[in-house]
Amino acid sequence: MGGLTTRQLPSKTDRAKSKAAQRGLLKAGEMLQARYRIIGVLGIGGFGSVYQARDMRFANVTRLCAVKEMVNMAPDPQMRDLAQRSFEREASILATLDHSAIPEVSDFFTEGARSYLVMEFIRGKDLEALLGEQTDHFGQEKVLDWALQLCDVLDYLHSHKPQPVIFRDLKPSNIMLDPHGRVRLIDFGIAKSFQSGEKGTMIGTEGYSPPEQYRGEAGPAGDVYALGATLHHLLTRQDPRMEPPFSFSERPITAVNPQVTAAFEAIIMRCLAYSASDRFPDAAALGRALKIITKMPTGPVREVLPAAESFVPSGQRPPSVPLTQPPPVAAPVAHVQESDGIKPLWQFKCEDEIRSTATVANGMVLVGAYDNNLYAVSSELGAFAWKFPTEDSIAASPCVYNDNVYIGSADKQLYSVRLGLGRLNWKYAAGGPIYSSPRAGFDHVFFGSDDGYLYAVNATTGRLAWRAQAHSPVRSTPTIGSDHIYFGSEGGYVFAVSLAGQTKWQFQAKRAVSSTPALAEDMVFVGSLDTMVYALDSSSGWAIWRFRTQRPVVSSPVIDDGVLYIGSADGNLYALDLFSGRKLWSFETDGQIPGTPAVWQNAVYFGATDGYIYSVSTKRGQLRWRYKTGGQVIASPTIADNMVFVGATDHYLYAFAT
Amino acid sequence: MRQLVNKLLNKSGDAAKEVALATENNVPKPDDANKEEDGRDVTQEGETVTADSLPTTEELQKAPDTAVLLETLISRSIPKPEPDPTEPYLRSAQRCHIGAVRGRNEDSCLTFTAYTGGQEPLLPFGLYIVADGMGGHHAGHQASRMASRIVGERILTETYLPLIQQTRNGQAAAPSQPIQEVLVDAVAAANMALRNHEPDKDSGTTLTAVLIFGRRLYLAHVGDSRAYLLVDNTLHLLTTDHSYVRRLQDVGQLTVEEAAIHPNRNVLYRAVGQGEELEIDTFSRALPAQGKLLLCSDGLWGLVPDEVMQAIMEDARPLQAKADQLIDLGLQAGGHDNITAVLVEFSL
Repeated sequence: MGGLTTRQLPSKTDRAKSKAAQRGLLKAGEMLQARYRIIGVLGIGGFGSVYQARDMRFANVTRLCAVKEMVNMAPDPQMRDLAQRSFEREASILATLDHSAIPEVSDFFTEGARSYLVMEFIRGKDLEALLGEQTDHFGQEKVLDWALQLCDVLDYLHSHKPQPVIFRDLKPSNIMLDPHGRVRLIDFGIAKSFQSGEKGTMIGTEGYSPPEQYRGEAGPAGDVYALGATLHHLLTRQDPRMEPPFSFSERPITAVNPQVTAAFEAIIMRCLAYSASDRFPDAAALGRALKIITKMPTGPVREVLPAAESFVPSGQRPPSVPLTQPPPVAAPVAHVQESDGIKPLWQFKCEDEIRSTATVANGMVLVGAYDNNLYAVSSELGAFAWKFPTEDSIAASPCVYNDNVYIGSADKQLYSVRLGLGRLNWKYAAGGPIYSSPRAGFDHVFFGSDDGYLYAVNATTGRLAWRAQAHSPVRSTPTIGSDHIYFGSEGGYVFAVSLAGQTKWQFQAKRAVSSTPALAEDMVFVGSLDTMVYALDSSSGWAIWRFRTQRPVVSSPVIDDGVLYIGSADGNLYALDLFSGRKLWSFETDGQIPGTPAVWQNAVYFGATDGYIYSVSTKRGQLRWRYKTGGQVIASPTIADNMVFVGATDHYLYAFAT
Repeated sequence: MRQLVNKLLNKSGDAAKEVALATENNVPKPDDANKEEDGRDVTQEGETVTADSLPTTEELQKAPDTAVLLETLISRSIPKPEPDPTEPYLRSAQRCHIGAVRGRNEDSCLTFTAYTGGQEPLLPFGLYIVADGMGGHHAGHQASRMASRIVGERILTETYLPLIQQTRNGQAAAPSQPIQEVLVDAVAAANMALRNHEPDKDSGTTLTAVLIFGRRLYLAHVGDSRAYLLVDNTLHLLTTDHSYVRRLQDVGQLTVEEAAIHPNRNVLYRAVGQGEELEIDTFSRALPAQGKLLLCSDGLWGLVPDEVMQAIMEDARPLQAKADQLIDLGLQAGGHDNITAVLVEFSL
């Protein structure tokens, strides 16, 4: 492929060649050398076609053979000569090979510009065809068996005298499986007798070829790579020709096919190392490693971890995906600290359900309850400090600003209460119940009400600054940005209003937006009851991406280190890439997740209606611990002073160590 | 940086003058802005260049230092006063050139910058597309033309037309889908159209599309055309080349120098029109208040170093003069491929 002047895809050259080869296909019934009667075409390859033919010398029996044709179309006599010599070389190499997995060559001849090689006809199917028929993954045992057979034949080629033979184009379509389940190699078209250090030309199939082949180098370790690529394809069903080149290490096998043991995966990944010197040097070494696995138990992944380690040279894969760890799936419960393992530091009982999220300030935990009260307890011991009664239940969460606590109640009023003593500063009456939590900034408190307005009230005086009409109840908690306030409405809109109350933009979801928007990277993130999580541009309100969950999203997103965490009524906690909305992992619970997750030091905390409070690792979504409360966990956890605070519908406020 | 520019620009004597003149000729040509609708060459009279008359890269590199030239080049065109800095703007200039060697221009570009004035103006809107067709003896030029226009039509229909639509409440309508999906659907539509148009042909195209609206940039990308963003004197490459040499560099098997001269550096593993399923890179990022953007085909970035492109982008001359100069540099470095440059400047 040297000397390409125009840009092209590799497939193009193959197609161009096959088109050339199609010119003048032999027809059924034609005879070659007055001996081989053409039956049909088996395949059209790079430089010519392969036919099925009958050897007429055995007139009384049907002896089938494969006749490989090379059309010598080189215009220049020197090139033509070169092509002819290369054909003869292939024929002579093949003629000297004697291995049960290599088809036997019985004859070769040239007729005009066409040369022919007569070989044993192999019945069966190639592995690519088998992959196509299969709907499920091949099992490890089967693939391991093929791998061992392939190592055996490759080892035979690699130790060929006087020079090793490099197959150079190993891939599923070049591997036949005969009716006895034996593996046979076909298409030796580019097999190269290896002279160390000699530069060849780039031949091979994109996706299966090792990086050094692009420098024109071919050695035994190149076949090891191609075998690794083939095994990866067989086990994952991910066609490497459809993936970015050399991207195997980014696509762990066990993430797709969890039945594969870590040891087998480690061996395959070592075959696929970028640098030839990091791979098994040849098929014999690879075969020895594979044989060890056949003796290993195929039980749970963990049991074989120590053994797997020895096959893995360090630095072969990005450290973010440790090779010997299972893929991001929830760990079995047995490995996890259950309720008996983890105990609350303290718990504080209110008189009714807690759905409000706690706020921590000055060593005090503030939380509202359905018993109409706002409670203040000490964060260290859970000791009662004071309570402030409103006239109806409190579903919203308090916020603290300049030593005052602000809380909305279903009694339609927003209260300002002094943090230290729990005494009332002022109250402001909205036109409807307040389920939205207040947020304070710029000397004002912002909150929504079921009367369809977002309110801005002076934090000190309680006087109304402005209210913005949303035309439907506002239960979403407003988020204050640098110069705008973002909130959702039950009518399904997300609004951006200026600090003066002017609407900058509005975005329409398909159902209510009760979730609290989160801001990062000039984007606004929000969940909706239409099951989506949206990323909106904060300057225009245009949706950048959306992620679909299975059920409504009441939970609010939380963002940490480029990752968005959000719960859904489908029971999953999702970790999404902030910029693309791509799912990184999900963690399944047995309930719904209505609250906002909290992130602290590589762990994400959240509650679910199955009654548990969960702590899950941020990296892969593995369960760290969970604690069963006596009710449902609707509220969101709050993290402060190395403690997690969360209330439940069992009336308790819990405190845990992070 | 300036020295690098000089190094590339300067040749002794006549050739250098020719360049200077050519550039000067091209400076005041506002009419060119939307001229190359079909992506064809817009080389002007008196500017004809042939492969023979051009210096080779080697010649350029060992050329004597005539540092004055660039200064002359730049000082000849008087910088125009910037418009009112409080008024947001988005401007573009482009050139899509056949190059010095090829018989046909397989590059295409499409630029669309929309401005609304009045009491309640819309936010600035711009769509910029560069496509580089492939399949030399086949229909590379058709592929890039079709793809750039289908993608342009799809994106404008989904994003710009709603903006100027007269809705009942007087508010601008929003796109019905997230932009990331609009971009993917648009490129997928181009991919299908190319497949259906001439399924037997091996033609395909790269495609890099940048949409700017408000303070955000949205990008869709397949192949090895590139988009660069210049912010605060730093040039950011926004795209990943879907080429084998790029992957080999990424996995540490090829150096930058080796990649630049690799015989297979033009081989892509992803292109529009080459398969049923196409993976499309999409990306969005917030924009700073001021910045500049360059979209180009490999006919430019493969020949003109990033530092030189950056120096030209940073220059204070009119945008079109800078786009022309980028093309001229590509031609001087051999111009063995079609060359496309789309330059955008914004203040949002």
